[in-house]
Amino acid sequence: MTSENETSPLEGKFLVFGAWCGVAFSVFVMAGLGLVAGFLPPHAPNADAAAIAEIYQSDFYRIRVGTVLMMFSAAPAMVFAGAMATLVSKIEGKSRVLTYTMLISGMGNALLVFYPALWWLAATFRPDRTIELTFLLNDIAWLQFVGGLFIAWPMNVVLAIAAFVETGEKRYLSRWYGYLCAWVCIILLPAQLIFFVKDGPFAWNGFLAFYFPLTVFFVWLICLVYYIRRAGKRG
Amino acid sequence: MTSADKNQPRSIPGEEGVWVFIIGDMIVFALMFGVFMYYRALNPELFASSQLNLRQDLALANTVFLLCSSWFVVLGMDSLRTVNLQKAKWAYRGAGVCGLAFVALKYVEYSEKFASGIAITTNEFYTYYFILTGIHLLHLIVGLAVLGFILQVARKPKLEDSDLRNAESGSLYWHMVDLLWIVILAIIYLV
Repeated sequence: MTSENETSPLEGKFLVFGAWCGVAFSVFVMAGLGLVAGFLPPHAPNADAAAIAEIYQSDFYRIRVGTVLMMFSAAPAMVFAGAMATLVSKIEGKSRVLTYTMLISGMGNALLVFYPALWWLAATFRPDRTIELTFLLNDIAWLQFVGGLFIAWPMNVVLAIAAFVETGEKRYLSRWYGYLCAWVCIILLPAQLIFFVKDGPFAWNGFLAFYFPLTVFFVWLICLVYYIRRAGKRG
Repeated sequence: MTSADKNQPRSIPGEEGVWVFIIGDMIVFALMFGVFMYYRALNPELFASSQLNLRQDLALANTVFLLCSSWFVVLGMDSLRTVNLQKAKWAYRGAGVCGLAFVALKYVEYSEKFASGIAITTNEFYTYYFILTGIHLLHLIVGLAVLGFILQVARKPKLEDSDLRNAESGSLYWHMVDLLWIVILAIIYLV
């Protein structure tokens, strides 16, 4: 291990902070989307325009507060992206391809909570507008939130590769975590089916397109928070 | 655990981590098979009549290809362990050719469906037919890349323990792809 890869006390503190930002990111997304906006379970993709518009016309104050909270989660997500990239850079050494990919796709992860929230905010901004337009904004938001995968997906690819190529006595990632990330890469793919079906388990409110990947995403994230925090504490 | 147990060679094939992947993936497929059976129970006539339009001959040919490929993988892994690298290379190439044949037949099968106006949205049966066989095909294509990786391992002048471990993990993945196909054959094409 080269000396430039060793963790300074200051870097260790930032890594621990970055790990907690990963927790903050998920708390703000879930609290904003679920608890405040009341968007869990998701709106049915096969509901008609009138039913969807009714949600935005009646509950708009609550939806605005919840989705603003969700937009805020993009900020800790960026710090978390910085911490993820730093962890990968410690494994990668002088090469930077994995590190930069991690940083950019970590930013993609932030975009996937920022923009859907913004579309929902636009839908509530004028509760008296034509119901078809509200319907459209609702589609755009949900399709992006559940189906906008490939802008963040390289995070898992990078972590899988990093865990497999890592050598040395003091490991930053476990090899089984590399396999977990490879598995996450695959189980996220059926989310692309939400563009083809409007009901059943592969619709955007379905078990295999939404709840299951969401649960696995949190397992993935909690493990990663643990690894980043451990790398920070170790320094 | 006694000290004698600790000295026993490890009996689990591949490394522990690959089982995280394999068991996780099999759980997802089990869920999808469950979904298919659930919708079939709701609408047995539609599923039975749509199933008649599937090409069982192509599916059976593909089963033979995959069973052969698994046999090649076993042969290849055995040759790697006994450091017969030349034989190992041919065996993994054979497995790859069987895999490519599977992809080619799937292409024929899908093209026929599309040409006769059948798509993922035609009815519920075809939705799940395309989803299940499509996700399986995706796994198989990933598996071809894995076979290519093992072939690179067999090209090395000298094999380390970690090379054998990686080849074993990759071979396990290929067997999983084969196993999942057998279930798909049974529930979508035959029963």
